[in-house]
Amino acid sequence: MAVTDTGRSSGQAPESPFPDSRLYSSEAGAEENFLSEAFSLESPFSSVQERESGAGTEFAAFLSELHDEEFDQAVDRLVAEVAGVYQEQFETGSGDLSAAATRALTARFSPIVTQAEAFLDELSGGLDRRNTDAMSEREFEEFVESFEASRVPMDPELEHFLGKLVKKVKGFVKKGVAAVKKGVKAVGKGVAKIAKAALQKVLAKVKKLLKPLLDRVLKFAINKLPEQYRALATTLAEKLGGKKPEADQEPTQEPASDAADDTTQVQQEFDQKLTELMFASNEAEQDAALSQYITEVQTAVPADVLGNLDRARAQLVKELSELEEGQDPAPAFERFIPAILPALKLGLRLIGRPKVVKFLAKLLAKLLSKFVDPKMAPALSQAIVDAGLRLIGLEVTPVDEAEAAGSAVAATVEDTIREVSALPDHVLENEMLLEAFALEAFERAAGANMPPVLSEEAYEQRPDLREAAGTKGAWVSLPFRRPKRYKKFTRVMRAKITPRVAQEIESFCGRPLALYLRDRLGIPHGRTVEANVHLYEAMPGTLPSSICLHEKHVPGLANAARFATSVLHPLTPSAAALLFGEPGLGRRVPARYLDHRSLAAIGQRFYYLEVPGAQPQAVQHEGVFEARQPSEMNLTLDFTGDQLQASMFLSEAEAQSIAMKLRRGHQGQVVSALRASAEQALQHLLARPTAGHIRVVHGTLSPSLSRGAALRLLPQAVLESLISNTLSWLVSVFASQTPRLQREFTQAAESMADGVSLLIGFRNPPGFPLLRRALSGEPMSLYDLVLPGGVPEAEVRVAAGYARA
Amino acid sequence: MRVPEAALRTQLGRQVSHWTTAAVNLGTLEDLASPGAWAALERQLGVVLRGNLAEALERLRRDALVLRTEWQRARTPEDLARVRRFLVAFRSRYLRTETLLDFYGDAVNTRTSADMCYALASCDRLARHSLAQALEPLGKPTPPVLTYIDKGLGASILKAGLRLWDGTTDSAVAAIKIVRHNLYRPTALIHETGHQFAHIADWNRELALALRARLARRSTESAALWSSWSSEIAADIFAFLHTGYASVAGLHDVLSGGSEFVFRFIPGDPHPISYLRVLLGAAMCRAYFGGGAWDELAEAWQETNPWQEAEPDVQEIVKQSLVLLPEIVEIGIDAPARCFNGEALSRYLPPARVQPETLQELERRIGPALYTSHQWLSVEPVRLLALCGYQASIDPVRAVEILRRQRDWMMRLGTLSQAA
Repeated sequence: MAVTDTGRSSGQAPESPFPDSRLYSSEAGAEENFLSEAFSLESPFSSVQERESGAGTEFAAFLSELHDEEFDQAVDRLVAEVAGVYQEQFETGSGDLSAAATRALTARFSPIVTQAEAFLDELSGGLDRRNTDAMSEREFEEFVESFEASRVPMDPELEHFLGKLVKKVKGFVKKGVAAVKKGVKAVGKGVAKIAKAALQKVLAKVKKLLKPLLDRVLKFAINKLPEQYRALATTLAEKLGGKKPEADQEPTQEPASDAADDTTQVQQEFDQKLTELMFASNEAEQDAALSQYITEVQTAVPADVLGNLDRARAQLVKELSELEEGQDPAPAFERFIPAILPALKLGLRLIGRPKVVKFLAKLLAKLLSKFVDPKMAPALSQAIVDAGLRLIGLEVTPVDEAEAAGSAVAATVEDTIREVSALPDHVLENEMLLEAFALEAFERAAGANMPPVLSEEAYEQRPDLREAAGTKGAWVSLPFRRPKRYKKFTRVMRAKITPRVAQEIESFCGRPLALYLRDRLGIPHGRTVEANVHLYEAMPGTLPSSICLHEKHVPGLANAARFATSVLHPLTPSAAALLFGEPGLGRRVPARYLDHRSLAAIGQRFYYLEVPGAQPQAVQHEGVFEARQPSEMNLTLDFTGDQLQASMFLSEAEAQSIAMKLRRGHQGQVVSALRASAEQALQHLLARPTAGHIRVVHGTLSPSLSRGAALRLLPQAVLESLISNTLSWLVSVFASQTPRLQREFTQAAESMADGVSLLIGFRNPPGFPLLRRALSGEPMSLYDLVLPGGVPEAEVRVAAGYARA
Repeated sequence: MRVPEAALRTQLGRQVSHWTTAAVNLGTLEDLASPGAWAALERQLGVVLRGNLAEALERLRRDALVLRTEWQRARTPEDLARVRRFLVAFRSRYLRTETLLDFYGDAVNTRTSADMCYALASCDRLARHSLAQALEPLGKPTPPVLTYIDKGLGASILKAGLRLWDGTTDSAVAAIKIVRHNLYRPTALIHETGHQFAHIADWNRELALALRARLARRSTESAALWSSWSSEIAADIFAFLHTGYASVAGLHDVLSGGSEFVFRFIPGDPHPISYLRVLLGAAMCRAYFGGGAWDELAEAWQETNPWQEAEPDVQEIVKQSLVLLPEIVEIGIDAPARCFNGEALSRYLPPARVQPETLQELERRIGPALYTSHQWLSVEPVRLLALCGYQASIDPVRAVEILRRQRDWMMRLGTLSQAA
């Protein structure tokens, strides 16, 4: 459409098969110019090229080393567990019970704190009894490892978290001492010559971090986080050399909004405090670091963004149901929209533009008028019923049907506003452009949230107005009669998954679905699977675990809350096309939502495969049943130590297949199988680095960048070269070391642990100095795009079960 | 003298209240078995079984509501007579539903300790695995299996898909009784799943016809007799194809109850004469594995139980049957059948998979991981049963040690099921 100098359309107003929106254009013209109220924000994406200065470098490297992916997973699991209790017992929709919930859940956490404190006391006491000064680094590590939290009867999930917390603290102590031994000057100030007294003081301070740490986890679980922890972020920036916290954002991030708060903050903040304790020049600095954390956690006023949205949504549904014939719904929308905005990443931009909000409310009122008119509204309920509402496996009452219609309208408004909030300023400031873009957003939102309500002819002319041509379904906000936590597609799709298709469909972390079928469902490679596919969508407040929690009637999903991201897969357009031929039902999301963590984007879609007859594979580990782990690769690029660590975990199925080949003496086949596995994993890891499986230890990177995202700053050609080199190094190791490792590997495979890990360390890998400089912000020459060849010195270790270097 | 309507109504009303209240008081499924026992079931099995029982309870309660409403609406003597008939039928329905619920409640409740939970969960898994392996290639669904422990000599099955005691509910799970002495040597379990397999595949009828048609060429009496035993032969064949010689040795040990038992013949009994059953098993081994331990077993069986000691009519049956055994084996295992898509059963369950040499090769190739890795426990539990059963059968000196190892891996397999 042509746009004149004044920003107004020279052509016709936007057309839509939905109720005529042009009427609004004339009204909009009468409005005073709302541009005057607009304000601009600074871009959050400033340069990520980082600082290089003494203590800041060591601080950042220490911080990167402290990060433990398993601790992030433990936090996720604990959040899932606690969120489950909260949603079942306290989030009933009948008033805010968060204070009562906080008391009850804090009491529930108390055994973790007590046991962790006892562990720290025990470790501190142990330091008194041993002459640690005389110990080598290895002896000191063994000394620290000899301490365990005492085993007392505890909820298995709490015990799991306690185990990971203890592991983390041990890692902190060992890394601190190792850093001293390596001569990190800054650390020396805190624990000079591994002075017992100093270390014991640090441990005493760590004790004080435990309660606030658990408090943070709790707030995540019940969605009661303060909006920001600015002071903590600022402190980190100072330590890293004065950069603004925004610089820690991942590069090339799209404007998607997290459905729930990112739980990795818990570890990042905890690590930051541990590092500050270790690097403090004196006890006063340590106390200052502590008190800042404790004060922030305890006194920050929680923002009940989700609760406000829940209440506003319920109020909107109620108000719409009470509308009289011909009554304008715009005021109801105008009251609703401000409650949506705080849950959106860019919603703040609209909060500052009340006239835009009013404009959108009126536009939506016009577009949705026939759906909310009391004479017409029952038709919407009926259309949702016709689209399969009663097929979703729940007992659906007439009240639920009416609620589903109101929720569909609310969801359409929410999705429209979400898209509009991400529009650039120049669109928000131009009412003609805004109207056109808002209409497009509305059509997408209506196509997703409304059942097929237009004529077949209309859909033939505008196929983009419905997501699935061959399936008559609708997305319904669930659970009924309670605060909404996810959407479900009313139709359960049928999929025939051939081995080729399973290999092509990518699940989280780029893993082929075939690995899930083999390692989690025990379905042998080569078998075609027929599955019922349940489709879900994230909305504000969605944790993947909450989908499992509420979908109790779906076989295999009810008890999977602890490992929700292992049973739910990302429903991308490509996955939807391959599974059931409806790419429109899939959603594209930024890469950071496609790693294995429990972080979803609002609007992100998932699917669950219900395979009749398949038996979910699980193992008992320390008294707790765990889902069997699929094969995976983890890499640590340690630029401070100049080494590359590849941790290659082979699932039980893969490990047994390799062990069998080894026993038969087929070493060539073993090398070939390991190569194929490594190549597939490296392609996914390095070609599209996501958080979780890559750690970059580099003196200038912030925590979020050090988890893979930093590699996205490198030119594609360099990444490809890194993949190629790493693969050739690994193959060289497989070829040379397989005969030597045969006995170790088969013994590990015979143990009862789940799978086998190959821990491979490369010292001074060729090209690392170049990469180090590039990540420090130094320019790269075109000649550097292909990293130098050569095979570095390697060390290989075999471990039974899951292990990461 | 005619009893006043009001009195009839009162008498009926009291009974209606009693039985409808009783139906309500049958309670929840948690009242039938302990929460721990329910929780010990593999999830999918638990979901299906609970759904099945809840359906029976719901149906009874709906009938109770109808009965009460009918009584409340009854005005005329004819109405009261109809309510009385309905009441009698309802009492009967109540008692049959109670039997149904008690049966499954008792079965679930045999998971009394952690070890028993794991052992029975392991049996559930073995049974289901054996079924799935044969049914999936035929495109048939595999029902969940609930095993329970009880006293006695032999196992038994209440098949999935049968109409239950209440006359309206179809069983959704196969319930298999495993006897205590065989808990950790459960080849009989696979015989019972053979019954379930034959039921789903509709094999019994076709096998009976094939036996009658083929054997009639040699003896019409024998053909009729073996045809009448087809359901048990089918189950024995299924057990053999899954567990090889272990199933034959296990059957031998259960049937070794003295000559009277060995030669007992009850017309109409679907079980072949025990003497012939064991020899049929040995004939299967010989047909597919060549010579081996089964030859000794057969010789010892015949030596210990000379057929000349049997009743004359049994002697005649035995004499006529012995020469038929190889053909019966061939009919059951290698003859094409419509219910197997025109293929022989051996195409889906090749006997070579459970040949002793193959089983030992499996152990040699995989090593100790065969007994510890949950991968192998998940993929090969039935052949593991075949292997251990074979080893224990040929080496009585090491049998205790072998069966202890079997117990250990079964417990491990049970923990996997518990987690699923």
